This record gives sequence, structure tokens and C-alpha cells, in this order.
Amino acid sequence: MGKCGRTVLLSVLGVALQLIGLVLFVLGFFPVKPALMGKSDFESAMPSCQTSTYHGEKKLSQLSYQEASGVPRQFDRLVIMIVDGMPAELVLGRGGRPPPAELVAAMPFTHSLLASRKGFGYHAKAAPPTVTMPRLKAMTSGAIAGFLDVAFNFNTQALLDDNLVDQLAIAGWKMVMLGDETWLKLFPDKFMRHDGVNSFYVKDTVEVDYNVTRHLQEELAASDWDLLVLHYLGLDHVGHLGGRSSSLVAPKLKEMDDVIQRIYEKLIRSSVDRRTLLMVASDHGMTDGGNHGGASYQEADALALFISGSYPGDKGELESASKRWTDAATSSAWPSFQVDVVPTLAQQLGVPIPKNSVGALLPQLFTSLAPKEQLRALELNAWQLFQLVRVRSPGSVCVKQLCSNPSGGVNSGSNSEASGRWSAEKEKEVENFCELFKQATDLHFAWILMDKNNLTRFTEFEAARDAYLELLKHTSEWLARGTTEKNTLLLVCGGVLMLLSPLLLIWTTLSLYKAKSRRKQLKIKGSKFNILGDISFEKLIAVGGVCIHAGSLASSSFVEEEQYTYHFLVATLSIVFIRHALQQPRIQKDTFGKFSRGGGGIAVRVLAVAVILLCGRLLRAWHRSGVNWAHLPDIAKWLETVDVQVPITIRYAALLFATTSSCLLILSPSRRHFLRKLIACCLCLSATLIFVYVDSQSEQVPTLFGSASYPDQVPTLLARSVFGILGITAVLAVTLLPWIEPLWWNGDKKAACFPSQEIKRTWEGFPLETGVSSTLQSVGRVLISCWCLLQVLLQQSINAGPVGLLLVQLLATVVFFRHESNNYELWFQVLALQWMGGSGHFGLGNSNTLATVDVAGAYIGLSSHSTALSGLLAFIITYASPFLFLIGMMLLSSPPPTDTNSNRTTRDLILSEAWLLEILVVPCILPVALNGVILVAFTAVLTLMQDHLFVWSVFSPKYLYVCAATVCTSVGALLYAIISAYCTSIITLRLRQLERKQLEFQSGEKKS
Amino acid sequence: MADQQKAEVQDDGFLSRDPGAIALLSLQGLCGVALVVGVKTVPAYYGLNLIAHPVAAIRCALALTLPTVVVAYTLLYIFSSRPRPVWRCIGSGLLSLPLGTVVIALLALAFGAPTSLQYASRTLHWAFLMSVLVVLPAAIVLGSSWPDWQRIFAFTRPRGGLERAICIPAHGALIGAWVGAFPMPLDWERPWQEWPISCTYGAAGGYLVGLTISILLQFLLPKDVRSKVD
Repeated sequence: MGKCGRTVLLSVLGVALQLIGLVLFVLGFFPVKPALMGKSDFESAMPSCQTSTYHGEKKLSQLSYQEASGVPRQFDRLVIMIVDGMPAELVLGRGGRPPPAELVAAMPFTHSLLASRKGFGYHAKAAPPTVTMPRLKAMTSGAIAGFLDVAFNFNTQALLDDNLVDQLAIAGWKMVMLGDETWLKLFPDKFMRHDGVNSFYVKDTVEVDYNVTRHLQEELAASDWDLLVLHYLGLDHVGHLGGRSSSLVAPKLKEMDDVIQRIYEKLIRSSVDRRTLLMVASDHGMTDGGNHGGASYQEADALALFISGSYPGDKGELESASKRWTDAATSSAWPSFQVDVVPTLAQQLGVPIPKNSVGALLPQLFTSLAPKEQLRALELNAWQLFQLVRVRSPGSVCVKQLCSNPSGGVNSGSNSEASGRWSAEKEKEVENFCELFKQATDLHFAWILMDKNNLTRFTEFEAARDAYLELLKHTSEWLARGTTEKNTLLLVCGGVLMLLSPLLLIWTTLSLYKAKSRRKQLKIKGSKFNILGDISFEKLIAVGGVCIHAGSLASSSFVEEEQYTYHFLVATLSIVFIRHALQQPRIQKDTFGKFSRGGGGIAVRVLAVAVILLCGRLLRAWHRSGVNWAHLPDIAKWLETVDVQVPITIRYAALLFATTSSCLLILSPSRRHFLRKLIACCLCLSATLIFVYVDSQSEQVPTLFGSASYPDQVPTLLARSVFGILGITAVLAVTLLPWIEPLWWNGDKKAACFPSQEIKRTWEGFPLETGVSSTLQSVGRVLISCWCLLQVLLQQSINAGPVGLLLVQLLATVVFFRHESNNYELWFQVLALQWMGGSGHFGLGNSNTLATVDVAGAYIGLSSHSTALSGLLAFIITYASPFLFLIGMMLLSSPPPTDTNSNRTTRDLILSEAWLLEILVVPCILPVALNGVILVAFTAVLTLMQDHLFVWSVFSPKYLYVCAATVCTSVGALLYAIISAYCTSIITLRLRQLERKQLEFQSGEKKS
Repeated sequence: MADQQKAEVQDDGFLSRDPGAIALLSLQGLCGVALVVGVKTVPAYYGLNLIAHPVAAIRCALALTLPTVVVAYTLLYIFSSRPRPVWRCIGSGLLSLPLGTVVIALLALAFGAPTSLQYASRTLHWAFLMSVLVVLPAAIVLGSSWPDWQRIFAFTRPRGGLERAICIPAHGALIGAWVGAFPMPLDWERPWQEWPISCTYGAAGGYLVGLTISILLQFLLPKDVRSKVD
């Protein structure tokens, strides 16, 4: 048992090392960005190095900020009009070329504004992920979240950081919101009137926008608001349906243009008492196919268009169209970022710039101010960024010097004092900043002195302004890049631990097999027709496949299109299976020494492999997944266009199939028992509830029960009761099934003996090993059934088909592996299931971008928002397939060590112990080891590629998926370990009892 | 020459002599040349190429390769052993082609070849070419003998030079096509990444490598080992 203990210890150590190493690495690689707490207040108008120590003591009114800042507010009212998903290219053209003529024609009014310089358009580059909620956060707070923030706040609701809307609220602005309800989630209770629409029905391109525009009449007439937010989702929906070239784009732009015209006519041209600014912006762009989420130019190319009556109107003349597109000032000369909107709006509206904003002012919008005010606005922005720099580089010497003597000379040669924590490169960046800052403030100071003496010349002003702009641009980009110091110690420790884990686990597995094969060799002297030669072929495929997969992750394309790699691996495995099946001799000696035709075996196995291949191909075709070809047609898109009812019908079919096959699996003919019937009943009950749930979601009128619609609470209640029933069933099965598993079999293996008969039988075979193996199978069948039913409930309707296919694929694989003429080693079976799980992951529509996480499903059965629970549900939905196959490993079995009918010898005993250990340990640690290989490989890739162009858009999201997969695999391994340990102990206990009874029985017989 | 080629009756009664290395070199070399000329030179003569006109180029390759392979392997078969009449060899070879095409096309689909109708013609042409390279030689030489097919394709244990000449190029073509699929998901946006162009190149390359290996083995292996190697 020493060996057993050592194996278990090593396994636990391996799994633990992997998790610890991962945590260390993540903490080291993605440091949480230091952010400033609290909100900007009047102090930000008084630049100084002192952090606000007297917070709350002096509460000055907003007026004091106005006075202190020295920048007059330019506007009294703001209309923010967000056109979701509109690429700036469609309005402003690209690279000096105008947009296509039909798009220009679609927006005549906007283009006339641009031409007459009443509007300024910017290509506002959005940071990834280009999804609405993070973009809105960036557009209001000005902060670019660190990568982990994006992951952790994937569906957190209220925006807690300092932001523009809060600042305006403090200033007493009244707000109205019409459109995407994301705003309401971000800023609850801020809007006095709102009408939220949701982005749930992507096919609707008309209603969503009509629901916004229908309020426009009264809101434009009303004068009680100061901020009006309009968020139009229509264009994004158009894009998702038909891409950029959709015929719906031009009419949609025309609709937007009409709205702009209405607002302009009503609020800007005619209203004189209140100066109004209209900002037309988009949160992100879209690819040609209409998708977004990544960091490509097309997705990041968002629009920011400022329209107001008070812009200088540039010599009041209309420019010729050809000049406009190439003119530097209108668009492309000032590469702006989406976050630049924040300081710009804040300064124009007379509120402090939010604390964590990394944006830089857009100077063209301030040209109507006096030179003094312009410089003041730039100075305030510079100081605000300076505070961020200070927090980001706490050890920097030059920042401290700058602080102690803001306008005095910074001794740039004094970096000898820089403590060792600061890398030279980083210090250089900070010094660069200090230098620019000093230069700008010096020039500004000089200008002020000259201004007091009325000596100012325009060139001095320009010099100071340009110095500030240079500073702002530089600092803003530097801060946005967020090169915070990575903790090298943590990185190295984490990396080493992660590397150790798969090595340890693989070594454990290998030593297990070494011991086994040594013993096997003792027993059977290698027979002539051994398949050993072919097992080395399997090893080749396994090792080669893992290496190819791990190596492919170094290429961003293979990360984006990982579904092809997985599918290819599974298909290659299937070829190995077919080859192996064909090796079976046509005529063979069976165990009874009679010749029989083995053709049946070949047919069954080839058929099973054909089913595996077919299911795999259908799964791959179901969702295209990936990035580059995601827009091409696939089964899911096709089914959705055919008819709304089709996916729902398929969902019913999948439900029926899952239920039937579960019941068949659980009530397999020889094992009828009350508990099994109970479990089957529970599953049927939950299937019925899911059926009603699907009906309640299908919007089919009338519903099954004749009524027009279900009460609101019913779906939630149904889902909850399904969770409950499935949970209870699973727990019941795990705890009680080991007690009722028949331990003794009649010779023909068909019928279980009853306890009375058990006593009479003599010892033969390996009751413990076969008992544990069959118990694990029974438990595994129940768990698989529960998991599949849960997935039918949680996944989108369109994904019910893949869930069914996955179940078929898993069962076909198990049938194939358990076929009696197969003698695959258990590690190979585990590997096969692991790869199929990975392949199926993409078949369910997942990809390696964050955009495909099904957030909608994460609210099923929840009545109130809970990040933990909905996160758990999202995790369950996303990792449906890998986890299904992890549970599926309970159904596997290793080829038995020896003929169970022979009498036990000591050698057999040792052999069977090794076999038991294999069944208990390999499915538990090998998935973790395989996952560890991928984890280590991808960690290395991420570390090497940290300056790669795609690091934020491709590699980092994939790393999150790899981390989540690690968690999923570890949970699966833990579950397997617990269940198998429990089963083994229960079976051992029962066997001891039986042995005692048998002894009693025998002694009783002797006496009589 | 004839007395050096040891006739050997094997367990299943298959009579086989080792074909001469020179014969292998010339005949297999002919197949290789036919493939290269068919894929590259002839289409170029007509102003076509595999990348822009995959179907036409594969047709050219087929027009040259199919007869060459039939002739070459029939001759090889005649040189080494002759238990079946020649017309049966050619007949079984030609009969195997449609079957091989269907099986290989299905496998390609399973591996992820596009299922849309516009690719059907390309897939079928590619599969036909593959089946000329992989299935046809085996069908000509082995006929319908299940143990021989099993030995070569399920066990990869060719016996003798003739079976090596079938087995190694066939596996080379299959592995080449498998490797040829690797660059397809890359985002280089090159026309040759389209199905089945890179796979055709891969298969052709693998086939040529296989030919070379089988010829070299015939030259390098000592004569008495040649026929005993399993």
C-alpha cells in the first residue's frame, strides 16, 4: 500500500502545484492597476501634489470648481447619442478617402454639418474588448480597465469608479436616458426618466430604434433635463444580421441622420438660452461580418462627433468636398482615443475630470476659448494625468522631485538614487514624462508672465499649447498601455510550479504503467500476435497530437481558430481507432477455443467510430466559432433563419433523447432496483419541468396549457426546481448506488445474483476491482444524465442539438472502448475523451474570444442579481462539453488484468491492485496533466508575446479560457477522486461483511 | 537476374519474388514524374495552375498519373509474381477507384472539408487523385485479398519490395495530405490555403518522399533481408 499512498500523494501534489502556480502567475502577470479612489472635486482645480487629506471637511459647492478652474463652461446641456456599433469609417471615411457614395448620401445633414465645421468628427479608437458595457464604462470614466478587471467585472452592474455621469449628477444635472438598458445597469437611479430597450432580439432592427425615437418629440420639447442619453442599438443589430455591406445599413444611417437633424434644429439652432452640445458617438465598430469584440482596426474604429452651434464655423465657408476628406483638422490627423471624450466633455461642461481618466483633451474643440483658458484647460488635464502617473510609479525619483518643486528644475541626472525596484526602461518612461511636464509648465509659466505684462505673442502661446499637447498625448498613451511593473518573482515561481505539475503527474502515470507492464510481462510471455507494436503508434499519435496542439498556440490564428485543431485531433484519433479495429483478424479463436468470425466486431467498432466522426463533423458545422470565418453560414444560423420554431423543436427532441437514453442507461436490464427506478423517475420529472420551461420561453401562443402566457415567476420557479431535483438525484446516486451495486455475477455476466446466492458462491475473480469499476459506471451514468438535462435547460435553444450530439458521441466512444476485443490502455481512452471534450466545447458555439460567453443563460433561475451564482451558471454553460467528458471518464474501464474466471494467485492479486489503482488514479490525474501541458505552453507563449500586437485581443482572452479550463479540469478531477474513493471504501466494507457472512455460513454448514 | 530473385512461398500461399531495384526505380520514378508533370507542367502549358484552377489541374494530373500508375504497377506485378491474369489486375484496380474515391472523400469530409456544393467537385477530384495514389496500386497488386490489405493498411507491415512499393508511397501521400491541412486555418489569406490545394501539394510531396524511400530501401537493404523484412 506504500506505492498506493505515494501515487495519491504525488497526484494531489501535482494538482495543487498547478493551481498554486497559476494563481501566482496570474497575480504577477496581470497586476491589478492601481486606481485612485474617490471622486474628483474642486481640489482638482488647484493643482498640487498633496493628496486630499481633508476629504469631507470642506465641502465646497460646484461653483467653486468653476471659479477655481478658470475654464468657463461652454455648454449647459448635453445630448449624448450613441449609435451602437457604428464604425467611424462609415461617416468619416478612412485614410483620406470618403466613405462610399451611398453612405454619404444617406447622411446628408451630418455631412453638411461636418463641411461647415459645425461638427468635429474623430476616429475614436476603442480599446478591446470592443463590447458595449466595457466601452460605455470607458466612455464615461475615461479609464481603460486592466485585463483582469474586464474578466472579473464581466457582468458587474453599477459603475463605481469616478465618472462623468456621477460628476454631472454632483453638479446637479438632471438626466434622461432612452435606449440600451446597459446605461441603467451602469448608473442606477441616476436618470429621472428612462426607457430601456434590451439587445436580446438581434433580429429586430426597427423596433429597438423606434422605441427610442418615439420619445424624442416630448423630450426635445421638455426643458427639465440637462443630459439626454440616446442609445440606438439598431445599427449593431443590422451588423450582426448582415455585416457592413448589408442593404439595411444605408437606411439605418439615414434614420440616424434624421435624428441628428431633429436634435440640431430643435436644440442647437433655435435655442439660444441654453447652449447645447450634441455628441454622436459609437461604442465600437464592427468587422465586415458585423461582429465585434476584438481589437482589429474595424472593430476599434469608433466614432466621436461633436456638434454644436458655438464652434467657430471655420471662416464660415463651406469647404469643397474633396478638400474635406484630406484636410488634417477634421479627422485623421489627430488620432484620438475613445477615452479622450471624457476630459473633453468634462472641461466643456465645467466639471472635474474623473480621477482615473487617461484621456487627453481634443484641442480643436477649445479653440473658441481665450488663450489663457485654453492653456488652463490643458494644464488641468496634465495635472490630472500627473496624479495617475504618481500612483503608477510610486518609486520614481523624478516624480517626487517634480512634486517638491513643480516649476523648478528637475535634475535629470539624479536617477542614481532610483531604488532597485525600478527597471531602467520604466524610469526612462517616467523621466520622459517629467521632462515633458516640466517643459510644458515652464512654457506655460513664461506665457503667464508675459501675459501679465501684455507682451504675449501668438507663437509663445502656440509653443506652450503644443508642449502641453505633446505631454498629454504621450502620457495618455503611456497610461492607456498600462505597462505596470510585472512581478518577476511571482512570474518565475508560478511558471516553475506550473511546469512541475504536469511533469510530476505524467511521471506518476508512467510509473504506474511501468509497474503494470512489468507485472504483465511476468504473467504472459509476449505472445506472437501482440499489439504492442501498435500501442507505440498510439503513443506517437498521443504525444505528437499534444505537442502539435501545444505548439500551435504560439500562432494567433491557431488560437483564434482552435476549433479546427481540436477537430483535426479527434478525427486523427478516429483514424487510429479505425486502423485498430481493422487489425482484428477476420477469423479468430474466441475464449472457448472455437473459431468464430470476428467480422461482427469490426463492423460494430467501425460503426461506432463512424458515429463519433459524424457527430464530430456535425458539431463542427453547427457553430462556425473562431474569428476569421465566423460570419460564414453554419447549421445554427441556417436553422434560425428557417423558422423560429425549428430550434425549439430540436430542443424538445434533444430533451426527449437525453431523457430516454438516460433512463435506458440507468435501468439497463440486469440492474433493476428500486433506487434506480426512483432515479429514473426523478430524471423524467425534471425532464417534464424542462419541457414546460422551454414552452414558457418559446413565445408560442397559445402555450401547451392553453393560456396566453405564463405568469412571470413560473420560468424561474421551474428552473429552480429542475436545479433542485437534478442536484438531489446526483447526490442520491453518488451516496446510495455503491450500496446496491451487485457484487457477484453469474457466469454469463448477465444476471446479478441475489444476496442469498452470494453467500453460497465461492470466491472467484476480483470482486473488489470489478465492483468498483461497475459502481463507478453506474454513478457516472446518472451524473451524465443529470448534466445533459441541466445543459438542455441552460443552453440556448440552438445549442440543444449539440448537447444531444455530444451525448451520442460520448456513448459511441464508450461503446467503442468497452467492446471486448479492444484493449486500449486507459490513458489513451482518457486522452481521447479529453480531446473530444475540447472539440465539443467549440461545437457549443464557444470560441477563444470573450464575446461568445452566454451571459443571457447565466440568469436562468435567478430572480435577483448575484455575481457568484450567475458566474457559476455561465461557467457551467461554457464548460458543458469538457465537463461532460470528464464525467464520462467514469464509464471507461481498463482492459481487465486477467481472466476473471481463473482462480486468484498472489501475482493476480498484485496485478489487480495495480489495475484498480489505474482505474482510480489515471482518469483523475491525466486530464489535469494534459491541461497542465497546455497551460504551461500557453503561459510560455503569453510571456514571450507580451509585446505582441494581439496580446490583449487574442492571447489574453485565451489565457482566461485556459485558466477557466484549469479550474474545470481540477473540479472534475476532484469529483472523480471523491466519488471513486467513496465507492472503493463502500465496496470494501460490503465485501468484508459478505466474507464474514460466508464464513459464518460455512462454519454453520460444517457444524451441521 | 531471375535466379537471384528468390521465390518464396509465404504462409498464405502468396507467391512473391522481389522486384529488381532497377525496375522499381524506373517504374516508380515514372509514377513520380507523371505526378509532378501532371500537377505542375501540363497545366502550366495550358496556362492553368493548381491554385487558380484546382479542378482542371487535378484533371491534368489524373490524366497522366492514372495510366502511368496502372502500367507501372501492373508491370511490377508481372515482374515479381503472376498468380492472377493481367486483365484481372487492371480490372480490380479500376473497380477499386470509385470505392476508394468515396471512402477518401468521406474521410476528407470527416476531417473538416467544406460540405457546401460548390466544393463537391473539388473534393471528389482530390479524392480521386488520392485514390489513384493510395488505393489503385494496392488494388492492382493485391486484388481483393483481405489479409494483404490488412497487413499493409492496418498493420503497415509490408513484406518484400513490391509491398513496400505500395505501402510507403501510399502512407506518404496520406500523411502528406494530413500535414498539408495544417496551414489552412492560418490567417495569411493566401489562395493556396483553400481546400484542397494545400492538401494536394502535401499529398504529392508525401507521395514523392514515399517513392524515394521505397526505392532507396530496395537499393540499400541487403537482398536476403529484403524478402524477410516484415
